[in-house]
Amino acid sequence: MTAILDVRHLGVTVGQHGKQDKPVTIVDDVSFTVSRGEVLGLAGESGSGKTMTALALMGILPPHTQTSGTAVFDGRDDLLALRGNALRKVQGRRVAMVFQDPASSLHPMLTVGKQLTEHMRHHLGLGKREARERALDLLDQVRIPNPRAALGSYPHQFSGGMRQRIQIAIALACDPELLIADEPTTALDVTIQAGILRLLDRLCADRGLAVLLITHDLGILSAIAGRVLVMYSGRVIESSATGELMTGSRHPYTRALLSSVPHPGAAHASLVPIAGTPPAPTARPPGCAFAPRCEFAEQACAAEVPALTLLAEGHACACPVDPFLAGDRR
Amino acid sequence: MTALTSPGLTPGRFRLAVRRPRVPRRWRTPLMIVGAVIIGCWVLVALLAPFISPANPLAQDAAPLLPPSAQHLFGTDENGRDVLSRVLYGARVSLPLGVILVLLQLVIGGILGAIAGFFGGWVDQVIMRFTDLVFAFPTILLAMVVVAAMGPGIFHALIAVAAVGWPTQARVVRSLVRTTMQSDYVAVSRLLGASSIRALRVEVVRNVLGPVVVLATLGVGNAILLLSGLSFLGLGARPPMAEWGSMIASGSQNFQDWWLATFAGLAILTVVMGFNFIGDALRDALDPRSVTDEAYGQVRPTAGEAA
Amino acid sequence: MTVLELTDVEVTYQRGDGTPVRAVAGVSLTVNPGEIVGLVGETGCGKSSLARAACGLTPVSGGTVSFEGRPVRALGARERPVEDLGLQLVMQNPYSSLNPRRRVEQQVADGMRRAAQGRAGQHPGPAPHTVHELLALVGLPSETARRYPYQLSGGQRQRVALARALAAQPSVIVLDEPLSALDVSVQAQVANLLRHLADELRVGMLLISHDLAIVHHIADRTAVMYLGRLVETAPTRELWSSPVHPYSRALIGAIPTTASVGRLPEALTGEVPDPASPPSGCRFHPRCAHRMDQCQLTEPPAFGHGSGWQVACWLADPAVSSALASSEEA
Repeated sequence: MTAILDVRHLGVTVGQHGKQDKPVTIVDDVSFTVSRGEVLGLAGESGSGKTMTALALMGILPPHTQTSGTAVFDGRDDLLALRGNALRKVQGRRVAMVFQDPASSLHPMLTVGKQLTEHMRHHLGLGKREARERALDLLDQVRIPNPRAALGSYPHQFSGGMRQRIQIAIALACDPELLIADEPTTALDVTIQAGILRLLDRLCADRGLAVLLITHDLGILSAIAGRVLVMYSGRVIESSATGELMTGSRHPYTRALLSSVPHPGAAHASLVPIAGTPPAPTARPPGCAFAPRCEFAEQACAAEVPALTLLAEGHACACPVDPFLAGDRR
Repeated sequence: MTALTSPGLTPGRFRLAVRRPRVPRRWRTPLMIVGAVIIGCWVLVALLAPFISPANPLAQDAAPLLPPSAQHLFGTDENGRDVLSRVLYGARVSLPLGVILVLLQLVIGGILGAIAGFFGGWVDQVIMRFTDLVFAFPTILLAMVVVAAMGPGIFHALIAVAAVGWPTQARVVRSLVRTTMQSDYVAVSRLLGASSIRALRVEVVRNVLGPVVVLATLGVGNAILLLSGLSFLGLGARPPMAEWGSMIASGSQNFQDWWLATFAGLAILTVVMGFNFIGDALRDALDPRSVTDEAYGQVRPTAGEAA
Repeated sequence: MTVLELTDVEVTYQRGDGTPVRAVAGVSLTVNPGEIVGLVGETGCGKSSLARAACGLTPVSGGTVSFEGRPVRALGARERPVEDLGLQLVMQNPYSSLNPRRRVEQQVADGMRRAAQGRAGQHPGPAPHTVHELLALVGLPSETARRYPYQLSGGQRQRVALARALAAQPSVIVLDEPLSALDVSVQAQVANLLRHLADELRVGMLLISHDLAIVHHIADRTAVMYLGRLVETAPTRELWSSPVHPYSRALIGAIPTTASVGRLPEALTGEVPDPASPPSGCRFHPRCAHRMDQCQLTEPPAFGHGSGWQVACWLADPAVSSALASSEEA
């Protein structure tokens, strides 16, 4: 499996327009790689910086933001440094993105066919008939029933799950190598979500598509991701293979997150919510951002930001205390 | 021990004994301040006109059609009256009448709109169709009819405009009342035992008041324009009343003597602008930051639509 | 002795073009004091319509809703009768269920106004009387009382909505998707609060949600709804460990959990039919992998499957299962 994306020390800051204050850090020192045919999960709650990471990679950050670090795509281009034509060649074509709410990311006044073919013709220079044939094929691949009729229909005529499949079809139109999916199933019913997850899994296997799947739902990542990165307050605090993370995570936040999310296996026990709330980016505490809420916090935690240290093959954790070290369970 | 030497005060510095009330920042916008200053000045002018105006606005003392000079800052009109004085006194006509007109429209339109919005159904339909009818009626035509019937005069013009000017207010109030009566919080209020009337009184009125105030403020400017316009057409103020619209009318026949119309026109312009600024600033300030959908869009939306 | 009883409830509404839609087509269930009954279903199943009818907000077009043994009349032009004030509702959207221009204390006090007239003394246990006591009950500090809703977060607003409902000293609260609009970490907190209130105050709750996992954690019994009808009602634990109805099984099988890594959730074929024209016989039969001939012809009644367990499926018909058993022996 070759790495299609190599992100090193990615940072995103928001400048305070006009004011003399320091820029606010939204994403801090994030590094990871995604390989062809792999689903990499990026987990975190709202405010963890996971969406901003995705927007930075796609080059669609909001105004007044600055990026640092590199994101090398296919060993050649740094996505963060691309501008103008070079950016357009990659955006939507080699790297595609799917968003949470298909209702607002599909154009309500253009037919599905138009949205698909326009996209393709623009990027690939296809003729009308070629584009149409390809569009039909794409709709079939994402399992839209009756693709011919679908081409002439408008987004509002489809259900939420179907719209999401259409969005995926548009994303796949130019045969991208990397697909970034930001909470693609959050707004969908669970049986529909299952269908979308299976679709993504199949696409990964068939096309060798690399997928960066961003979600707060650890269950989804458990089902489909090979590796998971957990983000908190803009930083990666743990990364490992999925199985290892779900059963043997070492960071207190990850463990707390796992116990606060209901899972059908458990008995009628109370959910254990994490006390407190994540810090605002403007009011991040010194040292470990999770320390104020952490039951294992020690003096050292507030002193400096804990570095992401490699614990075992493929398992890194940013916790100096490491209370869950095997044999030292408190 | 005087205030200067009481503990806690830096010697040599005066301090106000009274705590100045802090006006929240969203009310202190440039737009609001400029608008308030403009209207504030004009209100003062209207109140103090008898004291600050250099001459009697109706006195035909000076030579006619004198251009602006030291003695007559705005010149004199075709009858030898001091234009500056007439402009100042004009405020005493336009401002109060503009406000009265808006209040009349609000009362008529507001009551009809509230009834329509509250009851819904056929009551709503009947009232709204009647509103549409009145809305279609040309104001100028009606003013002419009233004048033909009752003779010209600024108060007759006022009645005419009030009679056909209320549909906009009715529509806005009806829409507001309807949406709030159908809101989730009114539903819960009813489940907790409130009657519809109580819901209207306690829940709805305060949500309707804000937009209505904005509407009224913006409406004053419009009202003044309308009344001046009717006077311009000869359907409102009668000579020798000092009223801006009729001043523009007489000035329009004589463009060389630019001072006849210009200053009255500027007066209308600044007053209307002032009210519009305040209205816009009010709209921004009263914008319910309470029900902001941004926060809702940020968290997980539901997977189910209301079924 | 049940506090809330729905018997063959039907709710019909008119669509824009005049077609009548039976959103709820004959639902029967009961809620006992101190019990949380979860009602789960996906988009288009009619659960929101059921919620509004169950609390007396909208009228039913068939069947009856009984509260404390008396039939409930839907809200009309008059004030709600005092006897019905013990049946309350908490809505889904915390941003629209509170009046933006009234303080928290005023809105919470609404509940006490008329409840004081008729219900004092009927409720077992010490009843909270002041706004501050109610706020404390839902875990909010006293300062919240003087605030306006826009100064509160989604989770806090939902707690205020709960306090308002509790002010009326209810014996049953219908909650329509109370957690959906909240952040994941806040959901756990509010879910625990609901369980606590049900236990401490002996308030019955009808908890309607599409989130099966949360329902699994706090509901005593769970009912599964599909296209206007209940397909299965059972004690929660049993439903999760061994669901009988094919739709319940599909629903539970579709939930991705952290307990099973690498297992893709089961997807359900087809789409939910239009409630205005439901399939003949069993409403689920077009999508069911186990359908038999009679499923298409006659709608199955609810068969008993054990204590407090009902399944509306021909597979649960004792006649059918014995026929199957004997055909296997043969």
